[in-house]
Amino acid sequence: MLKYSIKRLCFMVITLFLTTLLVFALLELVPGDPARIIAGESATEESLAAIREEFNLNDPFFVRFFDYIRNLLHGDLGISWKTRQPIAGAIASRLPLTMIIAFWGVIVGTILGLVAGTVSAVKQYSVFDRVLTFISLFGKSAPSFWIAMLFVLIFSLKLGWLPATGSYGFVYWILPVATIGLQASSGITRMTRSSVLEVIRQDYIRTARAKGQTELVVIIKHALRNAFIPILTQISSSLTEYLGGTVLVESVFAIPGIGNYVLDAVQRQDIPVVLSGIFVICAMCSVVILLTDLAYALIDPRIKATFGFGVKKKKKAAVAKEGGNK
Amino acid sequence: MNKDTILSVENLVVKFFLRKSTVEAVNGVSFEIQKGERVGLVGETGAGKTTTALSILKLVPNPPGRITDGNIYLNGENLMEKSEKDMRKIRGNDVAMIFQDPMTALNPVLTVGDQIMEVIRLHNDLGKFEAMDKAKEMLELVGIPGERYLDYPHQFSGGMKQRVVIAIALACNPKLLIADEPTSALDVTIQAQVLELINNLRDKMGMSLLLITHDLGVVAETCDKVMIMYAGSIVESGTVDKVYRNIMHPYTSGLFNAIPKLHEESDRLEPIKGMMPDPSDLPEGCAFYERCPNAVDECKTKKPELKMVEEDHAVACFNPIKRGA
Repeated sequence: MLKYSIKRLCFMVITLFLTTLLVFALLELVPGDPARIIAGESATEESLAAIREEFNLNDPFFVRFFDYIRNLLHGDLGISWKTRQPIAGAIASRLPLTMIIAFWGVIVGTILGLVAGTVSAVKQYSVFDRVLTFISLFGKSAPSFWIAMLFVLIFSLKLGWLPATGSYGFVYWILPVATIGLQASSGITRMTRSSVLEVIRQDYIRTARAKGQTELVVIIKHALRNAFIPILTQISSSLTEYLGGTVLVESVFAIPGIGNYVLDAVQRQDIPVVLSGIFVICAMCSVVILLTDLAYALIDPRIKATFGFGVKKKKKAAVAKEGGNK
Repeated sequence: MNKDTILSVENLVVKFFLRKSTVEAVNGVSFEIQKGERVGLVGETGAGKTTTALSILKLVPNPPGRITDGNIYLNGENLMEKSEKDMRKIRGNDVAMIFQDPMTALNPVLTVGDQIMEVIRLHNDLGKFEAMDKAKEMLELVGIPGERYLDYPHQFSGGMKQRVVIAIALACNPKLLIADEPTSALDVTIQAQVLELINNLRDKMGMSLLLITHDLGVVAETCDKVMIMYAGSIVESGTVDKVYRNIMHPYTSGLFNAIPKLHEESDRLEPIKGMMPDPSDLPEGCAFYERCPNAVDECKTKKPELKMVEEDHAVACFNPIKRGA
């Protein structure tokens, strides 16, 4: 397991490096003179030259790229062109909020999705199944900002239970979490349903029933665990999606999250912010994907076996050899 | 039904209700199994053998399947009147089942020890460690070292997996063991081992056995009684001795003729001509009519009942094969 983890960690570093290179190169292609973007339309040639000197804009592409990487390794995400503030600080103040909303949204979505999907599968073609299928299809196809606005309309304006916008504590997070939760649950419900349906027809489910096991345990212990790999993939892809910041949801609820931050930077052509923002999002997603892959091995011993967790195999080979010598 | 009767099935009818048609899988099957008796249920694929077996545990997949008629008595108690909760106490405890394909019968994500322990803990009031010891004991009993308790099914070969399945089935000392083609999915060399294991353990523990198979040779070796099933009905039944010496139903005879003979030189097998009728569209008369060399006019319109023709031998046929003919 350790060997595999280290291998995956190396891959993760390579992925991050290549992604950064790609984004760096793409942003290089953005039209417009960076110095003019920083200084404004009315800047003089002298001030432009000074800015080019200050931000090292005259250096060749690869020099700037490796400077950037070196700074990253020192934990320095660069300086915003617009605010002249360190980007690391701005991201650090926004990231927790995005993470809270993404994590809780996905947790809510997972709970809803697992329950709804499993019930749907067990009671296939029942009224319950059809209603849930409809709701999840609806949740998947309705745009998140529309659901968000609907929630604001109902719970803030009509009922007045929850604040509509801002982020000053727990109650402010309920509606965004609910919005993301509903959307995430739709995908998870659909995946759970199809995956459980496939598993409950398997022979080992019949074996479990023939042991006299209760239906609930048969479903949870025998069916769900076997069905969990594709469901986990779905959960993990939802999480990476929302960790990237849900720009639309953040906009509707006026949440100062990382999605909004990067979007603003794109609009103002604040290239270091875009670059570092994407890097941070990318790093988080990589971690989630890494953890997901490791979780697969925990859930399914067969996956663990294919990774070749050397120790046991060697031991067995040694035993076999000994047996042969006797 | 006397007091030594473990299982008595009376006029069992099982149907599968599909969207477009109704499949009549089992049509009025009746039989008894006595204490310690070994009964073989023989028939080709789709004859309703497995459905009959699953009915005894009330595990016919529902929907679409349903037991529409008949009674099943286990130790004199009618299972059709039992609640699901009572049935759970019977499954794995009084009646255990070995399934056809050991490759898929075990849960791939749980250790084999866990899977044996599960059934032990369901039916016995044992702590975790006692159940673990008992599970290891069961593994040893079927010839697998106890240390392999923590291994997963994918670490075992097919024959070993079937041994684990047998360990699960026997863990609670069932009174009746149903073995549904326990060797069909295995290599020929392993088949003999597994059969021998089942036989030995049955002798040791003294439970009754319902062995489902399509191998007449296996039945001859293993069983006291045999029932031949065709299109959801039993067409011939009796003690192995009587039936094998005096085959009366043309279908049984066809099955025997289809076995390749070692002492005769022949290039081709002798199959029974035609196909089994579609179980969703069974003919009015005898289901074997279309393929039967002995068919008479009566067979087309009337369904023959299973009738005693001699002691311990019953046949459902209007024109059975005469001895010596």
